[in-house]
Amino acid sequence: MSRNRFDVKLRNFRGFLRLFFSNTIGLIGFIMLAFFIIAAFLGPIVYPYDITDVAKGDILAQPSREFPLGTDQLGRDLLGALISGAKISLMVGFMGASISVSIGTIVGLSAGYIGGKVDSILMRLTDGMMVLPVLPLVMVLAALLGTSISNIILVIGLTGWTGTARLVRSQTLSFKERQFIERARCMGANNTYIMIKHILPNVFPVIFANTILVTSSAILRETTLSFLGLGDPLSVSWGQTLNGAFNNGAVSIGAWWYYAPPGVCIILLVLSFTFLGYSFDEILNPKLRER
Amino acid sequence: MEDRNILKVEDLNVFFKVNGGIVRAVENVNFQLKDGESIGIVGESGCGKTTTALAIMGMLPGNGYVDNGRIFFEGEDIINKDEKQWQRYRWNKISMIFQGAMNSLNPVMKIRRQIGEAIRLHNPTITKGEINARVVELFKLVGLDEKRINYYPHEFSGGMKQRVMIAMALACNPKLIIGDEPTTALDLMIQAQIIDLINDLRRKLNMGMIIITHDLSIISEICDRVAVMYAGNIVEIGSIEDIIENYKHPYTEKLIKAFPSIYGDKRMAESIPGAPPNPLSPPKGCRFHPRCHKSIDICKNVLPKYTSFGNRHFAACHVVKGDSLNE
Amino acid sequence: MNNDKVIEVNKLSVYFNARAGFFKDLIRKDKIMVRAVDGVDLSISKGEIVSLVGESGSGKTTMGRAILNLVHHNTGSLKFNDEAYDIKNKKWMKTFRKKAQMIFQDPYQSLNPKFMIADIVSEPLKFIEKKLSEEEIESKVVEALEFAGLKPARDYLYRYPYELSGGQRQRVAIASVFIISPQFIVADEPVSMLDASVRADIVKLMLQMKEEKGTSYLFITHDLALAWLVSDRIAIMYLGKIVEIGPAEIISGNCIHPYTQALISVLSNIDIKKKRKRIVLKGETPSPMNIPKGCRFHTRCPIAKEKCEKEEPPLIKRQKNHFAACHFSKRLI
Repeated sequence: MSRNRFDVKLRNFRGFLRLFFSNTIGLIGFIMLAFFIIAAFLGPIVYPYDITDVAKGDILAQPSREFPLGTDQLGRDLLGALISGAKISLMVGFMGASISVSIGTIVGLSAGYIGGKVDSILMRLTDGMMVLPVLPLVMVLAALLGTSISNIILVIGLTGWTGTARLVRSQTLSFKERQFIERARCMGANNTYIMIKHILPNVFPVIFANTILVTSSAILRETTLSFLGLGDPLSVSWGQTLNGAFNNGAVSIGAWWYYAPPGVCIILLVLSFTFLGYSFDEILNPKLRER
Repeated sequence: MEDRNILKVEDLNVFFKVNGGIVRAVENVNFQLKDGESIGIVGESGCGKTTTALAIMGMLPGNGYVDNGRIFFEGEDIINKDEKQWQRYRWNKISMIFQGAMNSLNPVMKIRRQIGEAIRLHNPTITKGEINARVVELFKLVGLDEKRINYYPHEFSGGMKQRVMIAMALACNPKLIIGDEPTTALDLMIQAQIIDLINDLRRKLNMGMIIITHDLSIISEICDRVAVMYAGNIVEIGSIEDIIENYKHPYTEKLIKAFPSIYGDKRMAESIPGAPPNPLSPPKGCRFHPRCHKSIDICKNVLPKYTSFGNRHFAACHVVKGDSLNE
Repeated sequence: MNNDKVIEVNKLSVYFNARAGFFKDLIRKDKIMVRAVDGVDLSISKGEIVSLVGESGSGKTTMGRAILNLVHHNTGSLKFNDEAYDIKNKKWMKTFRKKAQMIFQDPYQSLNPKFMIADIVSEPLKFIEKKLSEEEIESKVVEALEFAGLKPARDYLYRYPYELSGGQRQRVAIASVFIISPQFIVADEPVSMLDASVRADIVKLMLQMKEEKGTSYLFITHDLALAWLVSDRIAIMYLGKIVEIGPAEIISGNCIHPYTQALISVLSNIDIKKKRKRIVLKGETPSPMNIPKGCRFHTRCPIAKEKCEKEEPPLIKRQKNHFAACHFSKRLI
């Protein structure tokens, strides 16, 4: 029965997958997210669309064979906009979340492990960020930096890390007191080594579950910004489409094909992340796991 | 003679349903407790000693059930009682000091209220004044300063909390108290104080007592009789003197020899080789035979019956069977 | 004679700041000090096992940690191999860490649950011998695991701690110390969390390491009988001070301090023929925040006199190697 490192890791990963796929809610979330990811990558190939193309349809035309989801106020195809929006939402979500979670993890780990003054300073900074009303802050930042998609990602990333930082700090505090940390110190390990090698792997499951929730809030934030007209005008996101619908009176004239599809997509995408986050929480947090 | 038994356990089997099948946690357990007598149940963790106690309290967890056997309390079979009838028994007649229970006190409730609650739950008609008087009385009984009844648990040390737990168990004047590891996790001197307290209470209140522990020395300080359990069976039972000085079963022998004595030779206590069997698939025959230094062929196939050695001393072992008393 | 000492501790004190409560902290200016270790002298020779025995709150664990520089000490001087501790010097600390190690109490807490056994055992090598190849590391890990009785070692390499029993985990912890064969080990209650049936094996393993490598131990325990069994000398600690120290035989024979005598009298035993007189002390150990004046044991001492309330007794030599801190020396049992 000789085992090797790779086999054991693979077996553990399989075990995790088995648990995950036996969780109905997680599975639903996974299927929904997979659908959006596939749509984002394959959609533009199957159904080419370019915002700078000359509009081909009538103004605010109802869904038809040529334009399955109708057209906007300039006669542009709305299905194409919807498909390209998926890519933007996912990109903003994942990249914004990686920035947020990275900052949050570094801040939380150092505050929790080093403690003392470092902890006080970092946590007051976090508290300060937390009490600032996020939306106005994001709007000011977005206006200052200019409205390109990379700036939006940056702004979302720089404002969304506080929750992660608090979470990682509290987890770090609980692991810091464990004997294996003292054992590592006794062997001569320095702080960086202990934080990266000993604490991070133990906190990782929590960070992972948290990333998913941060992603969904990043997507919502992008939508909000775009809806308020602070988005990148050259990349058609769902928020951008909603903004167009709102500005052109689509709601009052009953052009549901303009605002309903992006609205529903946002809800479904955010819901898929919420489901995933919920199920990961259940799998990774033994206290919540039902017997 | 029979009438004087406060507790009589007959052929008790307690099983647990688990994913992998059925765990035979307690099998074929028999013992009797006379009025005012105390018995110790000793064994390694997982040998079924706590399960036996929970069955007597009617407090088996959801997946556990009594498969067979009867439990008589004051001559009345209590095994088939429903929950409502159990509630009349529990705490009023039989109470229990749970393992590590001192950490289960509610940290935001004053001690007086926590003990009061235990009294009121089992005597719904009692008045507030009576409860307070009773709490003070109990505090005196277990050697706690009655001025401290309005303290919170964190203001009590470990030993004092354990006294509170004993007071709670005594709250309704039970006839029988079951103590599950009542001194584990306490310092040596506090352990000695608790042992003195328990002995003192036994003298004063004339209760029956069952002490469950892995530590034979506590039993030798408190109990009149000892039951040695291994893998769900009682392998040997008898008076404390008989068990310690005239043990018959090889497992008892190992347990006693594992006990260091600072007045003997400096030798490392012998450990028992191997590990207790998997409760899902215990070995055939005598359950101890894979770890036994005396096992012979018959031990592998046949579960040994009890042999009497007089003075209510029984052991279940093929090897000592029929041997003279000086084996 | 002097240079056969591995560890020499002089007047070691470790104080912690205590919190009295939120409001009391606001009002008070002077901080309350918990005097966990309060002026202790101790030395351990090469190849010697010294047990430090005391109840919880006696400061024995803090003492062990202070010797390994895992907690900061307030006063006192420490020497390792006749060399004063130079904790600011990284190079000195590195050699110290290589030669002085610790075995922890709780094998469920002291092994990182995310590390495989191979990584746990090889971890000390990372800090000490960085130039080893993968194969060299693996063969050292296998050797250490086999020493610790986990055979065949290759079956254990890629397991996680949760797959092992408490006894096996403690063997892993011992293997991870054995791999760098330190000169001195602080063993903090190494068997108290284990089932009685595996305790002896773990203790034997530690003794075997002493035989093979000449390791010295500071064996911290609350179990007098175990201390008597394994050690050359025993020190009894009460409220941050050593009250009696001497050869292990003082336990079964001629101990002097009333606290030691009381502890021995209540020692668990199953010898029902010779029931000895038990001295059960009243009350509990006072808080180290509020250590009694004079002899710190006088509040519970069965033979305390007026002198004990005023004067703290020094640790005085009674016989060869046997010291006790008591104004009187009366046999109680």
